[in-house]
Amino acid sequence: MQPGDAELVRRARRGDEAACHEIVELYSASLYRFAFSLVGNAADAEDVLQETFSGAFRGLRGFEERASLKTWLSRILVRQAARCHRSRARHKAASLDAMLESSAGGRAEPPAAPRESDRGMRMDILETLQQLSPDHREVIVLREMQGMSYEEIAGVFGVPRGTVESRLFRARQELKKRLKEYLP
Amino acid sequence: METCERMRQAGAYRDGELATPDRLSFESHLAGCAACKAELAQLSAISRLLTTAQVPYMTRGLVERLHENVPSVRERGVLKLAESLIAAAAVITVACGGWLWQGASGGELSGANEAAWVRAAVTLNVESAVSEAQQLTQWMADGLALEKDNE
Repeated sequence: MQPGDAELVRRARRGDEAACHEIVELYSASLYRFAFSLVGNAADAEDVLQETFSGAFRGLRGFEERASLKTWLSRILVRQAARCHRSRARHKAASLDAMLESSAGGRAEPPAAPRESDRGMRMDILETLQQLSPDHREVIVLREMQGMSYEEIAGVFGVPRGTVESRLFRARQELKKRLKEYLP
Repeated sequence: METCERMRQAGAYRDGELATPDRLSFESHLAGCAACKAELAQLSAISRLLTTAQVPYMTRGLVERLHENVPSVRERGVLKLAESLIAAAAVITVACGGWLWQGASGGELSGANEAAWVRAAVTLNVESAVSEAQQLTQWMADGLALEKDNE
């Protein structure tokens, strides 16, 4: 854990509101980018982040100082992002049902060709991330975009280090298939 | 594409996560394995692609909204306690109200009138209980804070 984190958490537990604000200031930027990478849009990322901090401040007593504060906050965020995805999937299923009922049978659109411009490529990458399974997306984002070590990632998910290694290997193989147009 | 049974180690090698003996062994293997070299090149390319993904930085406005939603830790504790007291007060009030009325009316009321009286009694009593419970809870929290300050 970072040297100042333990003291911040102790102060926040004692009701020091300034400590909670410091936690927001220290971690919100990195957590926002993590949230965005998981959910793919700004509105959901903000919701996920708000719920993460709410959950964290409500559950401070449950924080065991064995893990770092960053790991603990990331763990909460992953759960909130998963809830966001489930909610989105339910809404999507409901609107798809409504759409199928109202239309007289449409054709499936062919998959889009990879976009040529740089901006197009960056958008493809974000979309590709959203197409991965949650397990794969989470480990890839934590490793490649948040720079966490395998131990830290294992701490986020509460799984053995070997599991992180396996998931990363499978996630990368999946990304290789989906991004092959951009790879050597 | 060529494959090699040690390709699985390429990711951990690139991430700097192999223990020293494994790392040295893999490096030695890499010198003579085209498949693992190609795998490493592709993993590096994926990594570069991911860093170019358009993940925006958060706005100052969002930071301010996050700060606005940091509740006073004491307020949260007071509200939780107030909710519990309100729930308890509502249950007790409804039970006592029903008992008193049955006693006052000599036992029997028509079903519709009884239901209407219950609704009115619950509404009136819960509303006053909200205000009283909040006041009581704040008084208790102030008292606890004072004791803590004096420790």
